[in-house]
Parts: sequence; structure tokens; C-alpha cells
Amino acid sequence: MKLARRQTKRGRVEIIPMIDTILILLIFYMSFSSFKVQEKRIDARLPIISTKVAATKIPLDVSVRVRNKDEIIVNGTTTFDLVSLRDAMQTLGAIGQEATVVIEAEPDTSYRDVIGALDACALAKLTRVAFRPLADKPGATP
Amino acid sequence: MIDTIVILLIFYMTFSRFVEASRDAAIKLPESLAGDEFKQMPGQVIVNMFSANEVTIDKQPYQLSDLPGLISRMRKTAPDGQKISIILRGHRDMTYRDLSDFMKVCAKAGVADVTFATLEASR
Repeated sequence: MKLARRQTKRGRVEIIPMIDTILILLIFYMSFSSFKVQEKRIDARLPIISTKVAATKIPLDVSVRVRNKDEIIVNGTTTFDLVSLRDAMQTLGAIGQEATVVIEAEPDTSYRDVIGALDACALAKLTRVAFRPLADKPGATP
Repeated sequence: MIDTIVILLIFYMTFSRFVEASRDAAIKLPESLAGDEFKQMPGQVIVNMFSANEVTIDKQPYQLSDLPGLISRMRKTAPDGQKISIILRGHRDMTYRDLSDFMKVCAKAGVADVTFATLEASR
């Protein structure tokens, strides 16, 4: 008696579904991902010096008034731009890092310029940085 | 072609990351040279701010005036001894007026530690 040889199924890799899967994965990653942009953090300590508190209660060493990136007035007398402010703060930081810096700005000064001034303090390792908020408008709710 | 697709796939899988829910990708942060690596510690709230009227926390829209209430609720639920602090992710084009309003709200909420998120500037 002749026995029929058993047919063995040979496994094979299905290429077309694999390409489909890979393409779908590729589209997914291309659509829903973003490249890593390094975010940093600059720590500052609040509370902010209130406009209502007498200035003598807080040791004010340096006052920095930011109008824009090219007009930053230190202690009401000297005008710097962002680059020269960094140098000035480095000098201040070398003298004493205990100095307190109070940053204030015009209402319409851009946040990026204010952070530029804060960055100059952080570069000089001046950690005592405070912000002076704008005075409340008369009649505004506190 | 398959080789190219696989290489592209590996590239995207390796060098990309997903936007974290707490960080609003639409915000263009200001640049800074100084600063430490961005890390969110326990008890830190990330506040994404376009302006005083456009604030998001965990993708939920808020008004700045809602912040003290939110902080006080967080304090109640926080473990003992955990301080609540704020990481401000402010849009680079917002004004000092907006920042001033934010600071006043922080003072009202009794938050003393504020961290400003920035982007690494090219030197």
C-alpha cells in the first residue's frame, strides 16, 4: 500500500502586510511627534516687591528697568542693552552674589526682554531676583 | 524601498518625542543662555500663558483669577510638607502687564517659588 506523503506547509513572510504596517507606523511617528527642543528653567523667588510696601523695608541693591532689549536702565542712571547688561551683571556677581536685583518694566515691554534681563542675572549667578509688578489702576479691583 | 522606509521609521522612533500634555506646544518660549535642565518636580504646576486672559493648565483653559482657587485645592490634596510651586511657560510676545498680573495672582495664592521656562539660546 502506498501512503500519501503528508504535505507540509512552509511558512513564509508576508511582505505586503509588513510594508503596510511599517508605512502606517512611519506616518504615525511623522505626524504625532516633534523633535526634542531643549527647554530650560530659570528659578526666581517671589513674592514680588509690592508697590504698596515702603521700599526701605527691602534691601534694594540694583534696580533694573527694562524698556526694550536695547534700553535697560540700571539704578535709574545707566542705560545698557542686553549684551552689555550681561557684562554689568557679571561684574556685580563677581563683587557679591548677595546683591538683590529688582526687575521692573514698562507695561508693554515684551516678556522676552524681561526674561533677557533675568537671564543676565542668572548668568552672573545672582539668585536674589525679584520683580516689581505694575501699580494697580485707580479703581481696579484688587 | 523597504530598507528606506525601515530606516526612516527607526529614525523617527529614535529622535522624536511626544508632546507632553502639561506643556502647550503652541507656546513660543523666550530664549535664555542660563538655566538648568527642565524638570517637573512633585507639587509643581505648569502654567501655560499666552496672555492674562489665555492660560492653560493641563490643557484646560483658565483665567488667571482662577489660579488661587486651583492652588488652594492642590494644597489640600498634596501630601504633608509638599510645597506647591509654579512653572511659568509664558509666550515670548506677551507683555510685562500680563506678567505683572500673573505675579500679583501668585502673591495672592501665596506662591513664592516661580520658575520661568525658557528655550536654550544658541550662543
